Amino acid sequence: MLTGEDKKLLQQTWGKLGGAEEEVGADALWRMFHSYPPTKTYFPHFDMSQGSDQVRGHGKKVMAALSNAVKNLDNLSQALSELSNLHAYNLRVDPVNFKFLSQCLQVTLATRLGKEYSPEVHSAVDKFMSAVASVLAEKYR
Amino acid sequence: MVNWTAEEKQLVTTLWGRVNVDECGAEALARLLVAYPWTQRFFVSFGNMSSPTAVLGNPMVRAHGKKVLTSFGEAVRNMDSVKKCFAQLSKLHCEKLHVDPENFRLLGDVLVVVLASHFGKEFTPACQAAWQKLVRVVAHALAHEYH
Repeated sequence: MLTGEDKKLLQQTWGKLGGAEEEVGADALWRMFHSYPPTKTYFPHFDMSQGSDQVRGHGKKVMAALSNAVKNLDNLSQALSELSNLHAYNLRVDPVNFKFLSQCLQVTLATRLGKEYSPEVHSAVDKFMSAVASVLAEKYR
Repeated sequence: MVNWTAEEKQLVTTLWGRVNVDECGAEALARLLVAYPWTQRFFVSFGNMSSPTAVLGNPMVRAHGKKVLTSFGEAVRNMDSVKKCFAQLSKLHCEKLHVDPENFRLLGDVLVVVLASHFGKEFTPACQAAWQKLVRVVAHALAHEYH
C-alpha cells in the first residue's frame, strides 16, 4: 500500500499547508457539497450558506483527523479506531461518499499547490485517502 | 437530455477557452497512468512507463493525451448533445478498444484535478461543480453504446 516514498510525500504536502488546515478542510467540504449534492443529506441540520460556521467547523474537524492520520501512517487502523467506530455504528455514511471527499480534497490541494501537486503527490494522496476510507468502513459489517 | 444552466455553460466554456489542450491533455493522461498504474494496460505499446518521469516524458503518452483532450473539446462545443456526439467513439471504446468505462470516470476526475492545479483559486467550487458534471456526462456518453 503506502510506500516509504508515499509517506514522505504526504508529510511534505501536509507540511506545506502552513497552519491553513481549517481553510483547506472547509474548502474541501464546501466543494463536496457543491459537486455532489447528495452528500448534504448527512447534514440536514447544517447551515449550508457560503461561509457557514458549521461547515468551517466541520471542515476543521475532518482535516484535524486527516492530519493526525498523516502523523500515524504506520498505524492508521489504530489512529482512526475511534472514528471507525463512529462511522460504523453512529454516522453510517455510505462509503461511496469517501471517494467524493477524496476528490474534493485533491482539488483543494491542487488549487493551493499548483505545479507542486505533481502526479506523484496526487498518487500518494489518493492512496492515503483510499486507506483512510478503508479503515473508516472496516467495521460496517 | 442533460440540463445545463446558463451559468454552468458559461463556467465550462470560459475556462475551456483558456486551456492549453496539448499540455493539459498530456498532463491528464500522464497523471492517470501514474496515479492509477493499472490503466497502463491499454497502452502496452507506448514503451517506457516505468517511472513517473518516464511517463511524463513519454512522447506517445503526450501525443495520446493531446488526442484525447482534443476530442473532449467536442463535448464542450456540444454540451446539449454529448451522447450523440460521442456515439461512434463509444462503440469504438467498447468493440475495438475494450476499455472498462470506469476508466472514463477516473480520467474525468484526474482532468478536474489538473484544471484545479492550473487555475488555482479561479477554479471555484461552482466551476468545479460544472466541470464534475461535464466529465460525468462525457463518461456516461462514452459508456452509452456499450453492449
